[in-house]
Amino acid sequence: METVKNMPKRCPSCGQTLVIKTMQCNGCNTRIEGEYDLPLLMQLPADEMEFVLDFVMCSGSLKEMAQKRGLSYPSVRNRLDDIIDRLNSLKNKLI
Amino acid sequence: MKKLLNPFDYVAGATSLLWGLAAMVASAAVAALTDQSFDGFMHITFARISIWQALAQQLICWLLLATLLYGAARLASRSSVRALDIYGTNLFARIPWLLMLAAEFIPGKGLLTRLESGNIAEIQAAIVPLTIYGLILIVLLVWSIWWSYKAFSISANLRGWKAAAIFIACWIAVSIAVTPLLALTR
Repeated sequence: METVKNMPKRCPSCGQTLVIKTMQCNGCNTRIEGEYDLPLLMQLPADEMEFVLDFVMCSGSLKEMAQKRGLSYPSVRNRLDDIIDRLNSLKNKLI
Repeated sequence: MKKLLNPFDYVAGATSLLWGLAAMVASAAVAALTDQSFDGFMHITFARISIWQALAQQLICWLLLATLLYGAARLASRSSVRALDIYGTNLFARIPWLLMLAAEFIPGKGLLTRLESGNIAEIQAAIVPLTIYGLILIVLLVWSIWWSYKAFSISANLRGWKAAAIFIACWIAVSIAVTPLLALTR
């Protein structure tokens, strides 16, 4: 049974957002080193990332998402608005 | 328990409107059968009324508050607010009123009429059931107000002090404005 791994996004020591310094190709063992910020979407908490994924899979239909999750339309809309606010604030930190 | 405290995470829009309409018609029927008339936004008095008058009173109370809340939500909220959600959830939040009106059917029917009579001996004889009845009504009233607030908060995507301040302001405005309108139904 494969272990499910959760990718850490924040430093467990000081709480700062982690950056990517090394990437490796499993095919040819090429290693790339540099300093890359985590993509915006990846900086979201796991449940919010899952929400965004669900949203895309429902073709952007909040009505469909509400039915799928057993929630009311305004409840799902409010969640989406909160995620939009969080993404905007993450974007502003990068600028 | 979560659904009882805040059903609007799970029900809104057309579903809440339909349930609310059913409860409103039932409330009007109960009010007409038990001679209970709204003479204020949160005040019921004993007066003979027809089912149509009772229905008109329910409609006035609902539409006035929902319209004010919708206008306030359009101005104050950063989200795209649907009228169906505001009106529907606000009507759904009035379901506890059906229980308040129906309480007149409980054993010891006519408890409130004894209170209205002003006869001290009659009131003293019924003091224990009257107290229990009063406590039940208070719980139902608080429940309805809480649901009304949550309905507005979820439908308008407003929280905290902003939602509370707007809700209270609309509630006060409706309490004042509704009285002359209700007088027209009698």
